[in-house]
Amino acid sequence: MKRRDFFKVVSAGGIGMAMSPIVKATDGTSLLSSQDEIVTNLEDALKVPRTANSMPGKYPGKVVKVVDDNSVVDGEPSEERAYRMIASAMLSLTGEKNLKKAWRQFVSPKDVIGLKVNPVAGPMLTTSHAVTKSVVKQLEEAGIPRKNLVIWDRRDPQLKETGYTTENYPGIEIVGTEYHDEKGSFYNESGVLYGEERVDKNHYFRVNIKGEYDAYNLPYQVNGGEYSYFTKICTQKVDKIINLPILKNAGAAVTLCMKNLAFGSISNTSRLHGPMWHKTCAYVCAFPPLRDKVVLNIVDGLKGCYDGGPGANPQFFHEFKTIMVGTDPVAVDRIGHEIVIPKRIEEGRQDKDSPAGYLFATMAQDLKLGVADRDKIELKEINLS
Amino acid sequence: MTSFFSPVTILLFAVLSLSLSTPDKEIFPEGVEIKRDREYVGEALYGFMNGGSELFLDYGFEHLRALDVIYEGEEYSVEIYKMPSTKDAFGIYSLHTHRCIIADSIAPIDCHSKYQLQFISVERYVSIVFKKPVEGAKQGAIDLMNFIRMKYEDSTGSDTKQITDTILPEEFRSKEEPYSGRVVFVRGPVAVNNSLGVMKEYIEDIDHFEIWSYRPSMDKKRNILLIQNPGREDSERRMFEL
Repeated sequence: MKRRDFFKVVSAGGIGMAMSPIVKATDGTSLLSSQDEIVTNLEDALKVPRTANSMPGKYPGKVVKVVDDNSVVDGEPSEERAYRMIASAMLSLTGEKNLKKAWRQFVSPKDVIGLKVNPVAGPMLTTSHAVTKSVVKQLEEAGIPRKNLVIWDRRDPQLKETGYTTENYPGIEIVGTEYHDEKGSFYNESGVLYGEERVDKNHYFRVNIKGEYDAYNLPYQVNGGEYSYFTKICTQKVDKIINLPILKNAGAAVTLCMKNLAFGSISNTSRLHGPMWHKTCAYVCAFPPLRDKVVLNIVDGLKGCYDGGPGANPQFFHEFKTIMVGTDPVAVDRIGHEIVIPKRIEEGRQDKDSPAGYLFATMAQDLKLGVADRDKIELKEINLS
Repeated sequence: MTSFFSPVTILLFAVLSLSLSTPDKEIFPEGVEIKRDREYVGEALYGFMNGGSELFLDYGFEHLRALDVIYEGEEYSVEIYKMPSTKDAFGIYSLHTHRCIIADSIAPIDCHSKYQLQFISVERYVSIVFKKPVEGAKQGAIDLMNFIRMKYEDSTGSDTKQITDTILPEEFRSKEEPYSGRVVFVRGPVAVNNSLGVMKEYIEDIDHFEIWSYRPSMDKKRNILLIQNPGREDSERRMFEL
């Protein structure tokens, strides 16, 4: 049986009724393939009224890109340079002359703020501590109590293995949805996945592609079936989210702001790759737990990759020496695409660019989550070299 | 009369079953300290690399042993991917190798680069990553490679030609060596999308395909072999340049 036979397209009307044929593996050959048979609950999200914080945030279509040739030294990101780069970007983005005021446009001391990092590629290619610590420092300088900060991701074990620990970040909660205890078990004493306790079944992305997982895979999915539940970190724990993705490719696309948010916030994600990848990146961000809480996106492009992503293959690492900041994740991703794809072409990993590579951004624009049209993006470039 | 099911027979069968059903733990000798040892089976590879697992699963991925080790005072990350065949292992290897500083020289199929050594050992694709970069071959990584090869290959060893003659299609066997970094074997839509996007239009209506690509250098065109319905009676082969 083909691997993808595990993911059964369920008929639109029935729960658990596998009426449609198996999703063919070749559905993945074209990112633009027809997906008429795919049905989601996106309409539920669109019915919820937008708020003042809703994407694309205070500065739609505006992206600040900062480059510093001295930001990576002997292969290691420099915290001092990262701090300067982020500070420059924040002042430019907001038009403020005072860094504290710049930050206070987005956060207040009463907020619990979640920093969504990306540790999935392991210690060699995680959101750098240079960037994360700089963000923490600037938030504290803006009056945000350390105890109000949460560093989070879907994968609790990977947070720890990439150095996101209470030892390195004293006073800050570090938390992931998928969790195993000290003995390495993903299950609590009652035989329930720890992850299942950490998802909110009142908030979900439903797709009629049914995930069916064996015992080995289930701990990394939390649940199978048609529902992908949002993590309680998003729905209950934090008031605001600052997104800290890394500048990486995923095939001929970038895995950046929207991917870090969408796939990092829900369960049962394996079935959402392939033909659903672009839609998931766009649609999940349209749901209120993300749409209304993400106030800022700070892309760590000090070290990234142009191939092999989202994993870490050192063959394809590249020191872009860049940080990008924006409230609009769609616009930031569109500019990120312009950085990574030319590098892929230069290295012979891809022959030419294609709009199919940023389909998710175009979809997100249609959902009014941000600006994907390159002509409508205001890009401010700063060189601190 | 001796019963076929004598206690000795039963014991031998039990030992054999156990050895076949559980991965053999011992790969490295004393002197290699194992700091962490993880295993992933089948689709649980998702737990190791998330969506990146799609590519490996398209090539029939079976088992991963991921070890963090210390050898001669240095840290190495070792990943040993068991695939269904040498050809599948080569396929994954070919997608992950690029600009090898040294290729196909120490092991029959290997790629040495600044932070990484990758190679094939029978039906395994192996990656060894190290923090301290080198401009050539890293001796510590080579030692680890040799330990792994001793574990999985028979004592007669093999050379590049022996391996490539069994996995490369005839049309590619006359190509100039080394093959690493030049020959790519693509199976499945993920690999096409990721690495040979130029071939998307050629495979739009084809369910079963294999693609071989040989590119001697960046300034030269690719020689492409597209095999439709490989291994079947109605299999078709097309060669062209892109």
